[in-house]
Amino acid sequence: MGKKRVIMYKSQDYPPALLTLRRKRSALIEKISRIEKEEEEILQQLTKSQREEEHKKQQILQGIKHFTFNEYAQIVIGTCVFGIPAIFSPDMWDILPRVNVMFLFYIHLFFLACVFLALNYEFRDDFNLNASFLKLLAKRFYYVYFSVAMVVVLLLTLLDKLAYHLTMLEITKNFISTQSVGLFGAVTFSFLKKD
Amino acid sequence: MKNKKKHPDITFLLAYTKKNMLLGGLGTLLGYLFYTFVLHQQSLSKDIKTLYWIVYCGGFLLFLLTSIIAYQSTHTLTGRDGAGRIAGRRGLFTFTIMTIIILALLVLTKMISWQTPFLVFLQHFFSLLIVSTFFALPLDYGIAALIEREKSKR
Repeated sequence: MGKKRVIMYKSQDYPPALLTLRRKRSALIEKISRIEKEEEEILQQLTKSQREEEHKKQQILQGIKHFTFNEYAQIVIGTCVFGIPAIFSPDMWDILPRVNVMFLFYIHLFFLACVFLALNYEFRDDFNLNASFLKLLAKRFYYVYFSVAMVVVLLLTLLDKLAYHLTMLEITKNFISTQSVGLFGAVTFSFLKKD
Repeated sequence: MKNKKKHPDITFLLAYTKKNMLLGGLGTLLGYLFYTFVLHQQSLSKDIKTLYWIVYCGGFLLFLLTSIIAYQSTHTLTGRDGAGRIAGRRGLFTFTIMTIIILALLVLTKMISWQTPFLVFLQHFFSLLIVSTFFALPLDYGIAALIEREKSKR
């Protein structure tokens, strides 16, 4: 069994190749430590921006979640301010008997989709829908729809468009068309308030 | 020091889950069957104003009942998450589900059509709402509470 020969050098007697290797090694270690430092800084910035993003998301969530009395009042005012001129104009009621109820219904569905997107934009400043907000947005949309419906029923009763002698077809047409107008009024008002 | 009265934990009653929705729907269906086979003629013969009063007073009583349940859980009647606010929201969900199912049943069984007068529709609708409430609410609140109690026992 042969013994391993270990050659010991004094620092001044280092061979040039070994010296170059040592220099390269220390340069590499320096580079690695610099990269690690940079990485740490980037990670810190990332966590900060992540925290900010999370905070922003929480704020949006709270905004969508709580439907306050103040917002209800704004919806009522929006419906009245923008809806009443259209609802009180005789042209609208002249056209309605000639329009097919299913056509009105499809238009109403399209308007509902638009209002849903507008609500999404109002809270998130983004037109793309986010799955985590969908449930809360749907709930809010439901509250808005119901608030507008309450005003619309009152206005229709005032105009005698919900009379007992009318048929279901006429009542449905009256309600769907007025509800669409009222919804647009409510959403427009909230947009104006935001800007 | 006086011992504080311990309120029962009934927070789960305030959440409106799919289970509550299903039980409420089932109650409405039972109410509809009861209305169609037992009460149909009696309800229609009632004056519309009487029906309005029954619905309004019933709705108010239900609101009070839900407020009491919510108060037991939140210990507050006012504020952002006060009992009144929660009760109103909770009642609104039940009411909507009942309304949708009643409308669907009325249309599917051809009890109303496009040419039906609005008065007849309102009579059917209010009568059904009153009858269905007696079935839907005990199922919605009661059975859901029983299921939750059994689950917590295990």
